[in-house]
Amino acid sequence: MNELKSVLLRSWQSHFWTNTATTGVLTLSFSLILGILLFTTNLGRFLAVWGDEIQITVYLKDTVSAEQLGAIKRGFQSERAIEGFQYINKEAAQASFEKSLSSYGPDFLRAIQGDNENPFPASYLIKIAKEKKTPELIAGLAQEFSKWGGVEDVSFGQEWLKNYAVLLKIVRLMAMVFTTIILIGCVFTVSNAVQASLTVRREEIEILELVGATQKTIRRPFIVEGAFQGILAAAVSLFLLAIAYKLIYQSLDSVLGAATTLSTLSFFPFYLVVFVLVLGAAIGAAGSYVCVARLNTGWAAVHEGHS
Amino acid sequence: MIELSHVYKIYSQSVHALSNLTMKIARGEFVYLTGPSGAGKTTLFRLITCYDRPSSGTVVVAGQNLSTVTPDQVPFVRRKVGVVFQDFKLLKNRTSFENVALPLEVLGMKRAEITARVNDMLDQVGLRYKSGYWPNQLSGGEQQRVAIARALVSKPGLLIADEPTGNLDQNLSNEIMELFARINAQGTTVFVATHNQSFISKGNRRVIRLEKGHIADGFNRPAPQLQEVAAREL
Repeated sequence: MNELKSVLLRSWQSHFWTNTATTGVLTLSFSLILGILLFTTNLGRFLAVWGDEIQITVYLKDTVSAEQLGAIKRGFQSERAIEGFQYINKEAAQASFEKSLSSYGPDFLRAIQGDNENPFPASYLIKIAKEKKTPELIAGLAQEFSKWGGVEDVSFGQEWLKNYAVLLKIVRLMAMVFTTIILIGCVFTVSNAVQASLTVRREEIEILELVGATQKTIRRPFIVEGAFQGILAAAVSLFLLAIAYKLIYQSLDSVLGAATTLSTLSFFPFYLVVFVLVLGAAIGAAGSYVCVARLNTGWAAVHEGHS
Repeated sequence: MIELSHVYKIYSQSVHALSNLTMKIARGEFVYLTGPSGAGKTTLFRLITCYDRPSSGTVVVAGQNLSTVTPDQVPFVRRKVGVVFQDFKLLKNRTSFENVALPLEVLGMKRAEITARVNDMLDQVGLRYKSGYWPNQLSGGEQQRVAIARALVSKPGLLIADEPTGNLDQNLSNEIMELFARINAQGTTVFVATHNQSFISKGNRRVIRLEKGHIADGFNRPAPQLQEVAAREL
Protein backbone atom coordinates (compact mmCIF):
# COMPACT_ATOMS: atom_id res chain seq x y z
CA MET A 1 0.00 0.00 0.00
CA ASN A 2 2.84 2.36 0.90
CA GLU A 3 4.65 1.45 -2.33
CA LEU A 4 1.48 2.15 -4.30
CA LYS A 5 1.05 5.50 -2.57
CA SER A 6 4.66 6.48 -3.21
CA VAL A 7 4.47 5.42 -6.90
CA LEU A 8 1.35 7.55 -7.44
CA LEU A 9 2.63 10.52 -5.44
CA ARG A 10 5.98 10.57 -7.23
CA SER A 11 4.31 10.31 -10.62
CA TRP A 12 1.76 13.08 -10.01
CA GLN A 13 4.36 15.36 -8.43
CA SER A 14 6.80 15.05 -11.31
CA HIS A 15 4.42 14.71 -14.24
CA PHE A 16 1.39 16.67 -13.05
CA TRP A 17 0.46 18.27 -16.36
CA THR A 18 1.13 15.18 -18.49
CA ASN A 19 -0.92 13.04 -16.12
CA THR A 20 -3.69 15.65 -15.97
CA ALA A 21 -3.84 15.80 -19.77
CA THR A 22 -3.96 11.99 -20.10
CA THR A 23 -6.65 11.68 -17.43
CA GLY A 24 -8.58 14.54 -19.05
CA VAL A 25 -8.59 12.79 -22.43
CA LEU A 26 -9.69 9.54 -20.78
CA THR A 27 -12.46 11.37 -18.89
CA LEU A 28 -13.74 13.01 -22.06
CA SER A 29 -13.72 9.71 -23.94
CA PHE A 30 -15.47 7.81 -21.14
CA SER A 31 -18.05 10.61 -20.78
CA LEU A 32 -18.90 10.48 -24.50
CA ILE A 33 -19.27 6.70 -24.58
CA LEU A 34 -21.19 6.47 -21.30
CA GLY A 35 -23.35 9.45 -22.29
CA ILE A 36 -24.40 7.73 -25.53
CA LEU A 37 -25.03 4.49 -23.64
CA LEU A 38 -27.19 6.29 -21.06
CA PHE A 39 -29.11 8.18 -23.73
CA THR A 40 -29.85 5.14 -25.90
CA THR A 41 -30.77 2.96 -22.90
CA ASN A 42 -33.28 5.53 -21.69
CA LEU A 43 -34.60 6.17 -25.20
CA GLY A 44 -35.13 2.41 -25.50
CA ARG A 45 -37.06 2.41 -22.21
CA PHE A 46 -39.09 5.40 -23.35
CA LEU A 47 -40.01 3.62 -26.58
CA ALA A 48 -40.72 0.38 -24.70
CA VAL A 49 -43.55 2.15 -22.85
CA TRP A 50 -45.19 2.82 -26.20
CA GLY A 51 -44.50 -0.76 -27.18
CA ASP A 52 -46.51 -1.95 -24.18
CA GLU A 53 -49.63 -0.56 -25.82
CA ILE A 54 -49.31 -3.03 -28.68
CA GLN A 55 -51.77 -5.94 -28.53
CA ILE A 56 -53.48 -8.26 -31.03
CA THR A 57 -57.24 -8.37 -31.46
CA VAL A 58 -58.62 -11.55 -33.01
CA TYR A 59 -62.16 -10.95 -34.34
CA LEU A 60 -64.35 -14.03 -34.52
CA LYS A 61 -67.00 -14.92 -37.12
CA ASP A 62 -70.62 -14.78 -35.95
CA THR A 63 -70.87 -18.39 -37.06
CA VAL A 64 -67.96 -19.63 -34.94
CA SER A 65 -68.75 -23.03 -33.41
CA ALA A 66 -68.03 -24.16 -29.84
CA GLU A 67 -65.35 -26.59 -31.14
CA GLN A 68 -63.61 -23.81 -33.09
CA LEU A 69 -63.76 -21.57 -30.03
CA GLY A 70 -62.18 -24.32 -27.92
CA ALA A 71 -59.44 -24.89 -30.52
CA ILE A 72 -58.67 -21.16 -30.66
CA LYS A 73 -58.41 -21.00 -26.85
CA ARG A 74 -56.09 -24.03 -26.78
CA GLY A 75 -53.99 -22.44 -29.53
CA PHE A 76 -53.52 -19.29 -27.44
CA GLN A 77 -52.64 -21.33 -24.35
CA SER A 78 -49.97 -23.31 -26.18
CA GLU A 79 -48.27 -20.18 -27.61
CA ARG A 80 -45.36 -19.20 -25.32
CA ALA A 81 -45.18 -15.60 -26.51
CA ILE A 82 -48.73 -14.95 -25.27
CA GLU A 83 -48.80 -13.59 -21.73
CA GLY A 84 -52.58 -13.52 -21.43
CA PHE A 85 -55.82 -13.28 -23.43
CA GLN A 86 -59.31 -12.03 -22.77
CA TYR A 87 -62.56 -13.07 -24.49
CA ILE A 88 -64.98 -10.24 -25.33
CA ASN A 89 -68.43 -11.38 -26.47
CA LYS A 90 -70.64 -9.45 -28.88
CA GLU A 91 -72.65 -7.79 -26.09
CA ALA A 92 -69.56 -6.63 -24.21
CA ALA A 93 -68.10 -5.25 -27.44
CA GLN A 94 -71.28 -3.30 -28.12
CA ALA A 95 -71.45 -2.04 -24.56
CA SER A 96 -67.83 -0.89 -24.72
CA PHE A 97 -68.46 0.90 -28.02
CA GLU A 98 -71.59 2.60 -26.70
CA LYS A 99 -69.75 3.73 -23.61
CA SER A 100 -67.01 5.32 -25.70
CA LEU A 101 -69.47 6.91 -28.11
CA SER A 102 -71.90 8.30 -25.50
CA SER A 103 -69.75 11.32 -24.80
CA TYR A 104 -68.71 12.04 -28.42
CA GLY A 105 -71.85 11.26 -30.49
CA PRO A 106 -75.00 10.76 -28.39
CA ASP A 107 -77.33 11.39 -31.39
CA PHE A 108 -75.61 8.83 -33.54
CA LEU A 109 -75.66 6.40 -30.63
CA ARG A 110 -79.41 6.79 -30.17
CA ALA A 111 -79.88 6.19 -33.90
CA ILE A 112 -77.99 2.93 -33.98
CA GLN A 113 -79.54 1.74 -30.71
CA GLY A 114 -82.80 1.61 -32.59
CA ASP A 115 -81.55 -1.34 -34.65
CA ASN A 116 -82.05 -4.70 -33.07
CA GLU A 117 -79.08 -6.30 -34.71
CA ASN A 118 -75.70 -6.18 -32.87
CA PRO A 119 -73.03 -5.48 -35.55
CA PHE A 120 -70.05 -5.97 -33.24
CA PRO A 121 -68.14 -9.26 -33.48
CA ALA A 122 -66.91 -11.26 -30.50
CA SER A 123 -63.13 -11.09 -30.13
CA TYR A 124 -60.02 -12.08 -28.19
CA LEU A 125 -57.61 -9.46 -26.86
CA ILE A 126 -54.12 -10.98 -26.82
CA LYS A 127 -51.32 -9.63 -24.65
CA ILE A 128 -47.81 -10.53 -25.80
CA ALA A 129 -45.03 -11.18 -23.27
CA LYS A 130 -42.87 -8.05 -22.88
CA GLU A 131 -39.53 -9.74 -23.55
CA LYS A 132 -40.82 -11.32 -26.78
CA LYS A 133 -42.65 -8.30 -28.08
CA THR A 134 -40.92 -7.67 -31.41
CA PRO A 135 -42.67 -6.25 -34.45
CA GLU A 136 -41.67 -9.35 -36.47
CA LEU A 137 -43.16 -11.77 -33.93
CA ILE A 138 -46.41 -9.83 -33.61
CA ALA A 139 -46.86 -9.77 -37.39
CA GLY A 140 -46.08 -13.50 -37.60
CA LEU A 141 -48.57 -14.40 -34.88
CA ALA A 142 -51.27 -12.25 -36.45
CA GLN A 143 -50.78 -13.98 -39.79
CA GLU A 144 -51.01 -17.41 -38.15
CA PHE A 145 -54.18 -16.56 -36.17
CA SER A 146 -55.89 -15.29 -39.32
CA LYS A 147 -55.64 -18.81 -40.78
CA TRP A 148 -57.47 -20.46 -37.88
CA GLY A 149 -61.07 -21.64 -38.37
CA GLY A 150 -63.71 -19.29 -36.99
CA VAL A 151 -61.45 -16.23 -37.21
CA GLU A 152 -62.86 -13.33 -39.20
CA ASP A 153 -59.99 -10.85 -38.99
CA VAL A 154 -56.87 -10.00 -36.98
CA SER A 155 -55.85 -6.47 -36.04
CA PHE A 156 -52.62 -5.38 -34.38
CA GLY A 157 -52.16 -1.74 -35.36
CA GLN A 158 -50.18 -2.69 -38.46
CA GLU A 159 -49.25 0.83 -39.58
CA TRP A 160 -48.37 2.00 -36.08
CA LEU A 161 -46.29 -1.08 -35.44
CA LYS A 162 -44.44 -0.60 -38.73
CA ASN A 163 -43.51 2.98 -37.79
CA TYR A 164 -42.52 1.92 -34.29
CA ALA A 165 -40.27 -0.81 -35.68
CA VAL A 166 -38.62 1.61 -38.11
CA LEU A 167 -38.07 4.13 -35.31
CA LEU A 168 -36.49 1.47 -33.08
CA LYS A 169 -34.20 0.35 -35.90
CA ILE A 170 -33.09 3.93 -36.64
CA VAL A 171 -32.37 4.64 -32.97
CA ARG A 172 -30.40 1.41 -32.54
CA LEU A 173 -28.46 1.93 -35.77
CA MET A 174 -27.60 5.51 -34.87
CA ALA A 175 -26.47 4.47 -31.40
CA MET A 176 -24.31 1.73 -32.90
CA VAL A 177 -22.75 4.02 -35.52
CA PHE A 178 -22.09 6.84 -33.04
CA THR A 179 -20.68 4.48 -30.42
CA THR A 180 -18.38 2.84 -32.98
CA ILE A 181 -17.10 6.17 -34.32
CA ILE A 182 -16.54 7.58 -30.85
CA LEU A 183 -14.97 4.34 -29.63
CA ILE A 184 -12.47 4.33 -32.50
CA GLY A 185 -11.72 8.02 -31.87
CA CYS A 186 -11.30 7.34 -28.17
CA VAL A 187 -8.91 4.42 -28.74
CA PHE A 188 -6.72 6.64 -30.95
CA THR A 189 -6.85 9.61 -28.60
CA VAL A 190 -6.23 7.60 -25.46
CA SER A 191 -3.39 5.64 -27.03
CA ASN A 192 -1.77 8.90 -28.23
CA ALA A 193 -2.18 10.51 -24.83
CA VAL A 194 -0.65 7.52 -23.02
CA GLN A 195 2.10 7.30 -25.65
CA ALA A 196 2.91 10.99 -25.20
CA SER A 197 3.03 10.65 -21.44
CA LEU A 198 5.37 7.65 -21.72
CA THR A 199 7.62 9.32 -24.26
CA VAL A 200 8.16 12.06 -21.69
CA ARG A 201 9.27 9.29 -19.34
CA ARG A 202 11.41 7.43 -21.85
CA GLU A 203 14.58 8.46 -20.04
CA GLU A 204 13.20 7.12 -16.77
CA ILE A 205 12.69 3.73 -18.40
CA GLU A 206 16.20 3.85 -19.89
CA ILE A 207 17.76 4.57 -16.50
CA LEU A 208 15.82 1.77 -14.84
CA GLU A 209 17.05 -0.59 -17.59
CA LEU A 210 20.57 0.74 -17.07
CA VAL A 211 20.65 -0.22 -13.38
CA GLY A 212 19.41 -3.72 -14.14
CA ALA A 213 15.70 -3.47 -13.33
CA THR A 214 13.68 -6.39 -14.67
CA GLN A 215 10.78 -5.81 -17.05
CA LYS A 216 8.35 -6.55 -14.23
CA THR A 217 9.96 -3.93 -11.96
CA ILE A 218 9.97 -1.33 -14.73
CA ARG A 219 6.43 -1.91 -15.95
CA ARG A 220 4.63 -2.32 -12.61
CA PRO A 221 4.58 1.38 -11.61
CA PHE A 222 3.39 2.42 -15.08
CA ILE A 223 0.58 -0.14 -15.00
CA VAL A 224 -0.45 0.97 -11.49
CA GLU A 225 -0.49 4.57 -12.67
CA GLY A 226 -2.47 3.67 -15.80
CA ALA A 227 -5.06 1.82 -13.72
CA PHE A 228 -5.32 4.77 -11.33
CA GLN A 229 -5.78 7.24 -14.17
CA GLY A 230 -8.40 4.96 -15.77
CA ILE A 231 -10.42 4.57 -12.57
CA LEU A 232 -10.15 8.30 -11.84
CA ALA A 233 -11.35 9.16 -15.34
CA ALA A 234 -14.25 6.68 -15.08
CA ALA A 235 -15.27 8.07 -11.69
CA VAL A 236 -15.18 11.69 -12.90
CA SER A 237 -17.15 10.73 -16.05
CA LEU A 238 -19.84 8.98 -13.98
CA PHE A 239 -20.03 11.96 -11.63
CA LEU A 240 -20.41 14.45 -14.50
CA LEU A 241 -23.00 12.24 -16.22
CA ALA A 242 -24.98 11.86 -12.98
CA ILE A 243 -25.15 15.66 -12.67
CA ALA A 244 -26.13 16.05 -16.34
CA TYR A 245 -28.78 13.32 -15.97
CA LYS A 246 -30.27 14.98 -12.90
CA LEU A 247 -30.43 18.38 -14.60
CA ILE A 248 -32.05 16.95 -17.74
CA TYR A 249 -34.53 14.91 -15.68
CA GLN A 250 -35.53 17.99 -13.69
CA SER A 251 -36.12 20.05 -16.80
CA LEU A 252 -38.14 17.23 -18.43
CA ASP A 253 -40.13 16.87 -15.22
CA SER A 254 -41.06 20.54 -15.26
CA VAL A 255 -42.17 20.27 -18.93
CA LEU A 256 -43.93 16.88 -18.92
CA GLY A 257 -45.18 16.88 -15.33
CA ALA A 258 -46.13 13.49 -13.90
CA ALA A 259 -46.08 11.71 -17.26
CA THR A 260 -45.78 7.97 -16.72
CA THR A 261 -43.05 7.65 -19.36
CA LEU A 262 -40.71 9.84 -17.28
CA SER A 263 -40.76 7.36 -14.41
CA THR A 264 -39.23 4.74 -16.69
CA LEU A 265 -36.00 6.77 -17.07
CA SER A 266 -33.11 5.92 -14.77
CA PHE A 267 -29.34 6.35 -14.30
CA PHE A 268 -26.93 3.38 -14.54
CA PRO A 269 -27.64 0.69 -11.94
CA PHE A 270 -25.04 0.15 -9.17
CA TYR A 271 -23.55 -2.98 -10.76
CA LEU A 272 -22.96 -1.07 -14.01
CA VAL A 273 -21.28 1.80 -12.13
CA VAL A 274 -18.91 -0.73 -10.52
CA PHE A 275 -18.36 -2.38 -13.91
CA VAL A 276 -17.50 0.98 -15.53
CA LEU A 277 -14.97 1.74 -12.76
CA VAL A 278 -13.35 -1.69 -13.15
CA LEU A 279 -13.36 -1.31 -16.94
CA GLY A 280 -11.76 2.15 -16.60
CA ALA A 281 -8.97 0.70 -14.47
CA ALA A 282 -8.50 -2.16 -16.93
CA ILE A 283 -8.36 0.16 -19.97
CA GLY A 284 -5.85 2.46 -18.23
CA ALA A 285 -3.66 -0.44 -17.13
CA ALA A 286 -3.82 -2.14 -20.55
CA GLY A 287 -3.01 1.12 -22.38
CA SER A 288 0.00 1.73 -20.16
CA TYR A 289 1.17 -1.86 -20.48
CA VAL A 290 1.05 -1.80 -24.29
CA CYS A 291 2.94 1.52 -24.49
CA VAL A 292 5.58 0.75 -21.85
CA ALA A 293 6.19 -2.66 -23.43
CA ARG A 294 7.06 -0.90 -26.69
CA LEU A 295 9.71 1.22 -24.93
CA ASN A 296 11.00 -1.40 -22.49
CA THR A 297 12.01 -4.14 -24.91
CA GLY A 298 14.42 -5.98 -22.66
CA TRP A 299 17.47 -5.10 -24.74
CA ALA A 300 17.39 -1.36 -24.69
CA ALA A 301 15.26 1.73 -24.76
CA VAL A 302 18.20 3.70 -26.19
CA HIS A 303 18.31 3.33 -29.94
CA GLU A 304 19.72 6.60 -31.12
CA GLY A 305 23.06 6.89 -32.82
CA HIS A 306 26.35 5.07 -32.60
CA SER A 307 29.93 6.22 -32.89
CA MET B 1 36.71 -9.23 -17.37
CA ILE B 2 35.92 -8.25 -20.98
CA GLU B 3 36.75 -10.43 -23.97
CA LEU B 4 35.76 -9.76 -27.58
CA SER B 5 36.53 -12.23 -30.31
CA HIS B 6 36.14 -11.41 -34.03
CA VAL B 7 33.23 -9.09 -33.32
CA TYR B 8 31.37 -7.43 -36.18
CA LYS B 9 28.54 -4.96 -35.82
CA ILE B 10 26.89 -4.10 -39.11
CA TYR B 11 23.95 -1.66 -39.10
CA SER B 12 23.45 -1.84 -42.85
CA GLN B 13 25.42 -3.04 -45.85
CA SER B 14 27.40 0.20 -45.90
CA VAL B 15 27.75 0.86 -42.15
CA HIS B 16 30.24 -1.43 -40.45
CA ALA B 17 30.40 0.05 -36.94
CA LEU B 18 32.78 -2.64 -35.71
CA SER B 19 34.84 -4.89 -37.92
CA ASN B 20 36.64 -8.04 -36.73
CA LEU B 21 37.32 -6.60 -33.28
CA THR B 22 39.32 -8.81 -30.93
CA MET B 23 40.46 -7.55 -27.53
CA LYS B 24 40.77 -8.53 -23.87
CA ILE B 25 40.66 -6.48 -20.68
CA ALA B 26 41.78 -8.28 -17.55
CA ARG B 27 40.18 -7.96 -14.10
CA GLY B 28 41.46 -4.88 -12.24
CA GLU B 29 42.76 -3.05 -15.36
CA PHE B 30 42.19 0.65 -16.08
CA VAL B 31 41.80 1.17 -19.82
CA TYR B 32 41.10 4.27 -21.90
CA LEU B 33 39.14 3.88 -25.14
CA THR B 34 39.74 6.62 -27.65
CA GLY B 35 39.29 7.40 -31.32
CA PRO B 36 37.51 9.88 -33.58
CA SER B 37 33.75 10.26 -33.68
CA GLY B 38 32.16 7.39 -35.59
CA ALA B 39 35.06 5.04 -34.81
CA GLY B 40 32.75 2.62 -32.95
CA LYS B 41 33.38 3.52 -29.27
CA THR B 42 29.73 3.86 -28.31
CA THR B 43 28.84 0.78 -30.33
CA LEU B 44 31.47 -1.18 -28.40
CA PHE B 45 30.05 0.04 -25.08
CA ARG B 46 26.51 -0.79 -26.21
CA LEU B 47 27.61 -4.36 -26.88
CA ILE B 48 29.35 -4.66 -23.51
CA THR B 49 26.32 -3.28 -21.63
CA CYS B 50 23.77 -5.42 -23.49
CA TYR B 51 22.20 -2.48 -25.29
CA ASP B 52 22.88 -4.25 -28.57
CA ARG B 53 23.95 -7.63 -29.96
CA PRO B 54 26.95 -8.22 -32.21
CA SER B 55 26.22 -9.15 -35.83
CA SER B 56 28.80 -11.92 -35.40
CA GLY B 57 31.58 -12.91 -33.02
CA THR B 58 31.47 -13.31 -29.25
CA VAL B 59 31.39 -10.77 -26.41
CA VAL B 60 32.12 -12.15 -22.94
CA VAL B 61 31.66 -9.88 -19.89
CA ALA B 62 32.30 -11.11 -16.34
CA GLY B 63 32.23 -14.68 -17.61
CA GLN B 64 28.90 -14.31 -19.40
CA ASN B 65 28.71 -14.79 -23.16
CA LEU B 66 26.46 -11.91 -24.25
CA SER B 67 25.85 -13.39 -27.69
CA THR B 68 23.65 -16.06 -26.11
CA VAL B 69 21.96 -13.92 -23.47
CA THR B 70 18.13 -13.88 -23.59
CA PRO B 71 16.11 -10.68 -22.97
CA ASP B 72 15.09 -12.01 -19.55
CA GLN B 73 18.76 -12.40 -18.55
CA VAL B 74 19.79 -8.90 -19.69
CA PRO B 75 18.93 -7.10 -16.38
CA PHE B 76 21.05 -9.60 -14.46
CA VAL B 77 24.04 -9.03 -16.78
CA ARG B 78 23.66 -5.25 -16.40
CA ARG B 79 23.81 -5.58 -12.62
CA LYS B 80 27.41 -6.78 -13.03
CA VAL B 81 28.37 -3.61 -14.93
CA GLY B 82 28.24 -0.03 -13.66
CA VAL B 83 27.70 2.50 -16.44
CA VAL B 84 28.39 6.25 -16.48
CA PHE B 85 27.33 8.53 -19.34
CA GLN B 86 28.40 11.97 -20.48
CA ASP B 87 24.90 13.34 -19.74
CA PHE B 88 24.76 11.76 -16.24
CA LYS B 89 21.28 10.20 -16.77
CA LEU B 90 19.99 11.00 -13.30
CA LEU B 91 16.28 10.79 -12.50
CA LYS B 92 15.18 14.39 -12.05
CA ASN B 93 12.36 13.52 -9.67
CA ARG B 94 14.69 11.77 -7.21
CA THR B 95 17.24 13.23 -4.80
CA SER B 96 20.95 12.33 -4.93
CA PHE B 97 20.32 9.72 -2.25
CA GLU B 98 17.35 8.23 -4.12
CA ASN B 99 19.26 8.14 -7.42
CA VAL B 100 22.15 6.28 -5.83
CA ALA B 101 19.72 3.94 -4.04
CA LEU B 102 18.06 2.90 -7.33
CA PRO B 103 20.26 -0.14 -8.17
CA LEU B 104 19.90 -1.43 -4.61
CA GLU B 105 16.11 -1.04 -4.72
CA VAL B 106 16.14 -3.01 -7.97
CA LEU B 107 18.08 -5.74 -6.17
CA GLY B 108 15.36 -5.79 -3.49
CA MET B 109 17.65 -4.87 -0.57
CA LYS B 110 16.27 -3.92 2.83
CA ARG B 111 15.88 -0.20 3.57
CA ALA B 112 18.46 -0.14 6.40
CA GLU B 113 21.11 -1.77 4.23
CA ILE B 114 20.32 0.57 1.34
CA THR B 115 20.73 3.60 3.61
CA ALA B 116 24.08 2.39 4.93
CA ARG B 117 25.50 1.57 1.50
CA VAL B 118 24.24 4.74 -0.18
CA ASN B 119 25.63 6.94 2.59
CA ASP B 120 28.97 5.13 2.36
CA MET B 121 29.04 5.58 -1.43
CA LEU B 122 28.12 9.27 -1.19
CA ASP B 123 30.95 9.64 1.33
CA GLN B 124 33.37 8.12 -1.17
CA VAL B 125 32.39 10.62 -3.87
CA GLY B 126 32.35 13.46 -1.32
CA LEU B 127 28.65 14.28 -1.63
CA ARG B 128 27.12 12.92 1.57
CA TYR B 129 26.19 16.47 2.60
CA LYS B 130 24.16 16.86 -0.59
CA SER B 131 22.22 13.61 -0.34
CA GLY B 132 18.88 15.43 -0.14
CA TYR B 133 19.57 17.66 -3.16
CA TRP B 134 17.72 17.27 -6.45
CA PRO B 135 19.84 16.87 -9.63
CA ASN B 136 19.00 20.41 -10.79
CA GLN B 137 20.45 21.75 -7.53
CA LEU B 138 23.85 20.15 -8.26
CA SER B 139 26.71 21.30 -10.51
CA GLY B 140 27.74 19.19 -13.52
CA GLY B 141 30.68 17.67 -11.63
CA GLU B 142 28.47 16.85 -8.68
CA GLN B 143 25.85 15.26 -10.90
CA GLN B 144 28.54 13.11 -12.52
CA ARG B 145 29.82 12.05 -9.08
CA VAL B 146 26.25 11.04 -8.13
CA ALA B 147 26.04 9.05 -11.37
CA ILE B 148 29.38 7.35 -10.54
CA ALA B 149 28.12 6.57 -7.03
CA ARG B 150 25.00 5.02 -8.55
CA ALA B 151 27.12 2.96 -10.95
CA LEU B 152 29.27 1.61 -8.13
CA VAL B 153 26.88 1.26 -5.18
CA SER B 154 26.01 -2.34 -6.07
CA LYS B 155 29.74 -3.20 -6.31
CA PRO B 156 29.61 -4.32 -9.94
CA GLY B 157 33.29 -5.20 -10.52
CA LEU B 158 33.34 -3.40 -13.89
CA LEU B 159 32.80 0.29 -14.52
CA ILE B 160 32.15 1.53 -18.06
CA ALA B 161 32.22 5.29 -18.63
CA ASP B 162 31.27 6.83 -21.98
CA GLU B 163 32.84 10.31 -22.21
CA PRO B 164 32.23 10.96 -18.49
CA THR B 165 34.06 14.29 -18.59
CA GLY B 166 32.63 15.50 -21.91
CA ASN B 167 30.41 18.10 -20.22
CA LEU B 168 32.90 19.15 -17.53
CA ASP B 169 35.78 21.64 -17.32
CA GLN B 170 39.37 20.41 -16.88
CA ASN B 171 39.43 20.73 -13.07
CA LEU B 172 36.21 18.78 -12.65
CA SER B 173 37.42 16.26 -15.25
CA ASN B 174 40.60 15.72 -13.24
CA GLU B 175 38.50 15.15 -10.11
CA ILE B 176 36.41 12.55 -11.88
CA MET B 177 39.49 10.73 -13.23
CA GLU B 178 41.06 10.76 -9.77
CA LEU B 179 37.88 9.21 -8.47
CA PHE B 180 38.09 6.51 -11.15
CA ALA B 181 41.72 5.86 -10.19
CA ARG B 182 40.72 5.39 -6.52
CA ILE B 183 37.92 3.04 -7.54
CA ASN B 184 40.33 1.09 -9.73
CA ALA B 185 42.82 0.88 -6.87
CA GLN B 186 40.09 -0.84 -4.83
CA GLY B 187 39.89 -3.59 -7.48
CA THR B 188 37.18 -2.40 -9.88
CA THR B 189 37.97 -2.78 -13.58
CA VAL B 190 37.55 0.63 -15.25
CA PHE B 191 36.99 1.14 -18.99
CA VAL B 192 36.66 4.80 -19.97
CA ALA B 193 35.95 6.28 -23.40
CA THR B 194 37.40 9.75 -23.71
CA HIS B 195 38.55 12.38 -26.18
CA ASN B 196 40.52 14.18 -23.48
CA GLN B 197 44.15 13.99 -24.65
CA SER B 198 45.55 15.14 -21.33
CA PHE B 199 44.56 11.86 -19.68
CA ILE B 200 45.70 9.64 -22.55
CA SER B 201 49.01 11.42 -23.05
CA LYS B 202 50.03 10.83 -19.44
CA GLY B 203 50.87 7.35 -20.66
CA ASN B 204 50.36 5.60 -17.35
CA ARG B 205 47.26 3.73 -18.50
CA ARG B 206 46.53 1.27 -21.28
CA VAL B 207 44.87 2.92 -24.30
CA ILE B 208 42.75 1.24 -26.95
CA ARG B 209 42.29 3.40 -30.03
CA LEU B 210 39.46 2.64 -32.43
CA GLU B 211 39.49 3.80 -36.04
CA LYS B 212 36.67 2.93 -38.44
CA GLY B 213 35.60 -0.01 -36.32
CA HIS B 214 39.11 -1.47 -36.02
CA ILE B 215 41.73 -1.24 -33.29
CA ALA B 216 44.50 1.02 -34.54
CA ASP B 217 47.90 -0.62 -34.95
CA GLY B 218 49.89 -0.77 -31.74
CA PHE B 219 46.95 0.09 -29.53
CA ASN B 220 45.89 -3.25 -28.15
CA ARG B 221 48.72 -4.19 -25.86
CA PRO B 222 49.11 -4.05 -22.09
CA ALA B 223 50.07 -0.65 -20.68
CA PRO B 224 53.89 -0.88 -20.32
CA GLN B 225 54.41 -1.78 -23.98
CA LEU B 226 51.88 0.78 -25.06
CA GLN B 227 53.33 3.85 -23.38
CA GLU B 228 55.92 4.60 -25.98
CA VAL B 229 53.56 4.05 -28.93
CA ALA B 230 50.87 6.17 -27.32
CA ALA B 231 53.23 9.04 -26.70
CA ARG B 232 54.51 8.93 -30.28
CA GLU B 233 51.09 8.63 -31.95
CA LEU B 234 49.30 11.24 -29.86
